[in-house]
This record gives sequence, C-alpha cells and structure tokens, in this order.
Amino acid sequence: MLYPYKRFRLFFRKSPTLFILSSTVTFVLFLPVLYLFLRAYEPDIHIPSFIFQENTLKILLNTLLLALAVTFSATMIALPLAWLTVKTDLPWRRFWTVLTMLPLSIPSLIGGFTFISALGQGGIVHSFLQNIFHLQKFPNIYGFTGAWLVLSLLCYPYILLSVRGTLQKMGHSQEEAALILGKSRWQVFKKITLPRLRPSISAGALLVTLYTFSDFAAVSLLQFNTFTRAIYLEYQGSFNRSYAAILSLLLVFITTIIISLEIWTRKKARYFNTGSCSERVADTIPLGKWKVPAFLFCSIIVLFSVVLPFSVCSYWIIRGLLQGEPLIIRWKAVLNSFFVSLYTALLIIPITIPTAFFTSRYQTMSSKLIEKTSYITFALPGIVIALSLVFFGANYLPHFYQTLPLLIFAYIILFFPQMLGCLRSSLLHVNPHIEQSAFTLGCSRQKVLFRLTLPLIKPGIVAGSALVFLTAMKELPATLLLAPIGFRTLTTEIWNATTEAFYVRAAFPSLLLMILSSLSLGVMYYQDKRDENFF
Amino acid sequence: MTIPLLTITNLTKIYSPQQTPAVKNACFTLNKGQILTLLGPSGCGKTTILRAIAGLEIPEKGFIAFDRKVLFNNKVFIPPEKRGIGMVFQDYALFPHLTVAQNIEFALSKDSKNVVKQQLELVGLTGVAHKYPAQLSGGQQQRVALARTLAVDPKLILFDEPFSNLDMSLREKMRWEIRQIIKHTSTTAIFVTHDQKEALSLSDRIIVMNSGEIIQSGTPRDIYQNPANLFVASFVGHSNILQGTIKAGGKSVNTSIGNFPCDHTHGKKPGENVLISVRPESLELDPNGIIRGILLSYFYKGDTIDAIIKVFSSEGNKKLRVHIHPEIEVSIGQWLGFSVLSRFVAVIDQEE
Ligand SMILES: Nc1ncnc2c1ncn2[C@@H]1O[C@H](COP(=O)(O)OP(=O)(O)OP(=O)(O)O)[C@@H](O)[C@H]1O
Ligand SMILES: [Mg+2]
Repeated sequence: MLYPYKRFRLFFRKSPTLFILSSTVTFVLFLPVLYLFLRAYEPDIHIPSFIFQENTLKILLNTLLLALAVTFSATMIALPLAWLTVKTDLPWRRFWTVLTMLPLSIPSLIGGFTFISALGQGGIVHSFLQNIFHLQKFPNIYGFTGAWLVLSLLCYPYILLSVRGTLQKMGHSQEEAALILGKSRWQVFKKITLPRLRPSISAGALLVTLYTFSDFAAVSLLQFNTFTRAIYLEYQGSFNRSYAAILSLLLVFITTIIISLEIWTRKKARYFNTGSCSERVADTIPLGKWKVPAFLFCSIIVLFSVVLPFSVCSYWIIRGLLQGEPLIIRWKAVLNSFFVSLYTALLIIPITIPTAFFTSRYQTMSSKLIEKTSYITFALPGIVIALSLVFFGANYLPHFYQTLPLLIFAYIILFFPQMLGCLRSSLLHVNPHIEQSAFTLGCSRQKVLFRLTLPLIKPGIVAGSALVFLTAMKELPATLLLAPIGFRTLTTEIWNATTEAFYVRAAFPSLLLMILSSLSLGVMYYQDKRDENFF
Repeated sequence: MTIPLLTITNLTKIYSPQQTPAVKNACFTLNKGQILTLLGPSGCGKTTILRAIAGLEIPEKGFIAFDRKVLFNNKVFIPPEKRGIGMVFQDYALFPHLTVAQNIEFALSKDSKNVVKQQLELVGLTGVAHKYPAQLSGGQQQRVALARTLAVDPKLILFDEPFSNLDMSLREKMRWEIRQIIKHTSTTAIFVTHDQKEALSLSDRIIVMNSGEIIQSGTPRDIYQNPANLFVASFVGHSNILQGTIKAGGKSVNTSIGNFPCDHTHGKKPGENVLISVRPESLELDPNGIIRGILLSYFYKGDTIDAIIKVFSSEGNKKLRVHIHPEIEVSIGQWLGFSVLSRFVAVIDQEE
C-alpha cells in the first residue's frame, strides 16, 4: 500500500537541517548542468550561426528521424506481442512473456557490439561468406539502418510493458457490444480497442523516444550522426568545445519537450483508466489457424532481440578460447568497474537520504522544486552530464579532472534520481501511523528516524544501492569522457574492442554485463513485490 | 470544583478551503478517570478531533488544555512527543521489525525492563514476548498496542476505532477487557467509534457528532432515552418519530394515534407542536394498552422479537417499531395492544 503525502503531514515538522542538506545536495549535483549554459556563451561566438548551420540541422534531422523510426517500429513489434501474450491462447504464453522482456537487460553498447560483430566487417557472417564464397562486396550496415534495427529491438519492451499492463485490466464488454452492433473486427479494433490503448502506447512510446535521444553507445558504434555522437566527436576533436556545449543544450531542449509531453500524457492517462478495473476480464481469444504465424512472430522477435546477442557473445568467447586468445579476460577492467561502481553505490546512500526524506515527508514549494529538479537530470542524456562535468572539472576542479573522484561524482549525478525514486518509494510505503504512534509515546525525532524509519526502509536502501551498482557497471559515456587516462572498465573495453574490430576481447565483458543487467531486472522486480507486501 | 483533565474550546479544523470544515467549533471537557466516546457516522470528524488532541493535526482555531497546561491556542503548539497523551491506532501501528517486548520497551528508559513483564501480564500476553507482530493474531496485536501505550503511563489514552479490525465475538471480549484495564489503572480514555452499541456499552459519557459538529453530549442512558434531535434518535438505536402537541401540564404529548406520556419535553411549552421519539423499548405488549395495531412483519432475534405494527387513525396510518418478548408466539396480521413507558419517550428538536 502506498501512503500519499498528506497522511504523513506534520512529521519532522519544519526541519531546517533537512532543507539545507537536501537543497545543497541538489544544487551541487545540478551545478555542472547549469554550467553548460554558461559555457555555451562565449563572447566571441555567435550562437545562432552555430545553431542554424547545415551540420546542426542535419544532426537534428537525423536524431528526430531515428527517434521516429525506432518509436514506430518498436510499437509495431510491441502491440502484437502484448495482445498475443495477454489476450490469446498462444502456446507457451508465460515463456514468451518473460523472454520478450529480456532485451531490457541488454545495454545498447552490447546491442551495438553484437550487431557489428555479427554482420560487420570481420564479423561472423562476413568471414563466413568470405571464406566460403570469396565474396568481397557487402552491404553497408552502418548508419541509419543499423542504428534503427538495434534500437528497435532493444526498446520495444518499454511499450510492451505499458500496453500489457493496460490490456490485463481491460475487459471485452465494449468490444463485444460493438461486434453485436455489426461492426467488423478490424473496425472494432480501430474504433474501440486502439483508442483505449492509446494512453499506454504513448506512455511507452515516449520512453522509447527518450531512450533513442539519449542513447550514445549504439548510435556511435553504428556511426549514425545523432546529437550524442556528434557531441562526442566535437568533444574529441576538441577544436571547438563550445559547439559541443551548444549541441548538448539543443539536446537538452528537445529532451525537455519530450518529458513535458510525458508528464502531460501521464496526467491524462489517469482519467482514461478509471473504471477499467471493475470490468470483467474476458476469456482468452482462440487464435485458430493464426496460431502458427503468431508463434513464428514471437520466435523471430525473441531470436533477434535475445538469442542472437547471447549466441554472438558465446561464439566469440568460444572462438577466443579455441585460439588461445590471451586477452579474453582482463581482470583489471573487471576489478576497476567493480570498485568504481561499489564506491558509487555506497556513497550515494548518505547523499540521497536527506533529499528522500525531505521530498517524501514535506510538501513545501522547496521540496517540490527539489524533487522536480532531480527528476529532470534523470532524463538528461549521460553524455550531456559527462560533458558538463568535463567543462566544469577542467575549469574549476583541475586537480580532480580525470581522476576517480570526479568519475564517481559523475556517476552520482547520473544515478541520484534513480536512488531517490527508490528511497522515496520505500518511505511512502511505511505506514505513517508507525511514526506517529512513536511520537505519541514520547519519542524524539532522532529516535524515530534512527530506530524506526531507517531500519524500516533498509531493504529499500539495499535494493536501491544494488541497482546503482549494477547500472554503474554498464555506464559508458561518462566513463569514456571522465575516466583517468589508462583506466579501463568493462564498458570501455567493449567500446575499444568493438571500434577496433577486436571482437573476441569484447565478448566476455559483454556476457558479464548482460548477466549483471538481468540481475538488476530481478532486483527491481523483487523491490516492487516487496513494497506491495511488506507493510 | 475540580478542574477537568482535558478542556477543548471552539476547536475548528479545515483541511481545504473548498470543503466544509472537518470539525466546527467543538467544545467539551473530560474529567479524570472517565471514558468518553466520540460517536458519529463516517467522515463526521471524530478522528480529526482525536488527532488534534494527540498533536497530530494542527487545528485552524481553538483551545486545548490538558493537565493544567495549554497544548494549543493561537500562539502555542506543543508537539505530540511532549504531550504525554497516548494513542492506539485502528491498524495498531506496531513496529514490524521489533519483537513484542521491544515494541513495548521502545519508548522506555533503560532501567525499566520489568515494566515489559508487568504490561504483558496486565494485558494477558506473557507467552509472546519474543514474537514479531506479523506472527500475532489481530486481538493479540491490539493488546500489544495497548500494552505499549500503557507502558509509558500516559494520563490520557486515545483509541481510534480500536475494535473495527476484530471479528464480532472478539470485539465484545476486547471491549470488556480494555474497559477493565482502563478502570483498573484509573486512566482516562477517549474512544472513537461509529458503532452505537459499542459506544453505549463502553463509555461513561458519549458525544454524538455529525458533519463536524457536536450534536449531543451525555451519559449513554441520556443519549438513548432522551435523544436531542432527529439525527441522534435515528443514529443511536431505532426510534419511532411522531408528530404531536404537548398537552397541558407538559407531561404527555397528543398524537394522531394516541396520547404518549413523556418525561422529557426539551423545554417546550404545552400547546406547542413537537416531534417525539418513541423507542421500541417504551412500547410494552399489553392486551389492554392504548396503542393497538396489526402486525405487519417481524424478525425473531433470539433475545427479542423486532416487529413492525400498523396503527390506524383518522389522520393516516402509522407504522411503529416495537419489541416483543421472544417467548411470545405471534403471527402476521394479528392484532396487538401496547402500553407506553414514559422513560423512553422524548420530545426532540425538529432540525437534524
Ligand atoms: N488529511 C486530510 N486531508 C483532507 N481531508 C481530510 C483529511 N483527513 C480527513 N479529511 C476529511 O475530513 C472529514 C473528517 O474526517 P475524519 O477522518 O475526522 O472522519 P471520521 O469521523 O474519523 O470518519 P471515519 O469514521 O470514516 O473514520 C472527512 O470529510 C474527510 O474526508
Ligand atoms: Mg476515523
């Protein structure tokens, strides 16, 4: 059960300490992003001429085109899957339900790697065709097509998740009524089912759009020039970092538009969904002769989005082992990733707790502002935050620039919203009467905080911190930009190996990361269940 | 004259300006050792009053004094942890990560370990000290909540619908036990309930509320025998409402179906048109009684027969609810006569 704020009202009444702590934390974490704005304003640069130059427009167009295409195809994959796994008598429904969610545990870096190492120059298919048929010419897999395919296959679960949720609660009565009135099945779908699903489709589609905007690894590996890649290239070319800043701000701007859209649709969805719970949930629809094509459809999607990445990784690992490749595992990189992520996961706990308390136990202008601010950073692409820290660090913290503390600071900025969400959810699940009854027993605020509230949310703290750990292991753009020279991690290993077409070396870290990400899916699932049942 | 333990004056709580106030100008006092019950339908503001007393809500206006100290007025607000008022919540709010013993000693200072044992004995729970709340039954959890509150020895304990999570038989038992414990430890208590039977059997005094306002305050007997108005008459128990005129002498009321003797005329003068409430208990089966009607329907309830009779008169027929001793065999359509006991007849206010 979730307790809305008003039931907690009054507790820890007026706490200047909490206010100061949490606003300081949020300000410090938000500072680098603010600095980006300053950075874009260099006196000798004429910003409009940058924005309206042909290159910028091309990047903007590329980004929008990719987002549109990915969103569209992900919807086309997710809609039938959702319907098949929720409403019909498709064989092995539970099996498909689980498998079609698994792409969530494949980072786009690994999606890109498997795609390239399977189809690219020197990849599996390439060498096969070359060895057997001595073919020399190959279609180009880089650019739009590659990025579009990879991202669609990785992203469709976001739409699938949200549509499944709605379908599960949705009965048939309206559809049946329309059929009785003599409409054809297609008309019924178009006129009734689709409009009822629209809020959840758009909610998922917006997530996919955001994902595409902020994805760095896949588009960069596949060399399609969207904002994130262009920012990285500008930064690396380093002849004009202001241009990188301007591109970042443009990306922030279009991201903000999408977030506002998202908030707006979520508000609307609330009105749409009322009443659907009480509806009788209908029996499954027999597929009849469509059973085989439906089964094939699910198999193909799962084959490309789940089986292929795992098999490609395994292929390269086995090949590496057979060839006695010495560099198949670089333990140094594993350890580096492990420790950086561990420090982040531990440090983020004390940093987040004051803000979590402040935003869940108070409702003032400042607490709402702090909450909103921290969620905005959540949607900001990692590369933007990384770049802002590069500028900020180089200018104000030269001693820290390209050191581990700054990298960990970047991770904390990146994962703060995620941790905050996790802690807030735990805090809002604590029955407010527990704290209140302790007060009526005469206990002080400190005692209630340290002996009741914190112990009660301990599982939430652990789960949140574990999630941060696992997510930090997967982080690429900030690590590329901010890691000390020569500091290798799992993700930079994969990145370097893939760009150098040294696939054997990327395979083991990729497999490891996929396994770790499946763990984080498990943690999230467990956290959801526990929050529902615990109190 | 003794000073009341708790004094509340003009207490008003407004949650949001668009809504009507949750509590409007509530005034009452409570003496030491008494058990008071706030009774009223759902949403009438009972919990709000309780939480304002505990310090869990800040009222918009009013005055609360407790044990010779001001807890709240337009300048003062004493926070809950400094009030010394205990509260037992409807969901018990036990600390789920602590054992029963740890729950009870949670708010105690280090050197009071044997209090835990005493309290567990008092509420009859010696065996479960080392269990966790989730391992206890509803009734046991409630006793732990009570023991935890009693352990800090508050001068006043507030109970918000403490029995509503228990099943019927346990409810009655716990009601009786808790009343015993409160009286035994000479604590003062305020209960909140919307169950009128509970209020009548538990309290020394009842305050009946409706939509944020106090309607009537009195002993259970007072409230039942002499409801102040239509709302109380129909909310607390069942009542037959009749229209009539007070007769000369002010000792009876004349209605279309007969003359009702009446002890309580609510300050009305003879000759005035009034409403009266006639409790089923005041109509006693009597073949020679002045009220005569035919039996329309009845329910056999074991301890009584709950029946509706139809009384004929020149100004329209009336249905009356009566109680018949369960020993008597009745059948529908039968003519029955009743005499009237004046103690359960009262003149009531016209408006709700
Ligand atoms: N935190 C709150 N915010 C806004 N309105 C509230 C809040 N708490 C209570 N109310 C409103 O105040 C009124 C009185 O509520 P209260 O909880 O005191 O009623 P109650 O008599 O205890 O009812 P019940 O028997 O259902 O517990 C109700 O109309 C309720 O909707
Ligand atoms: Mg209540």
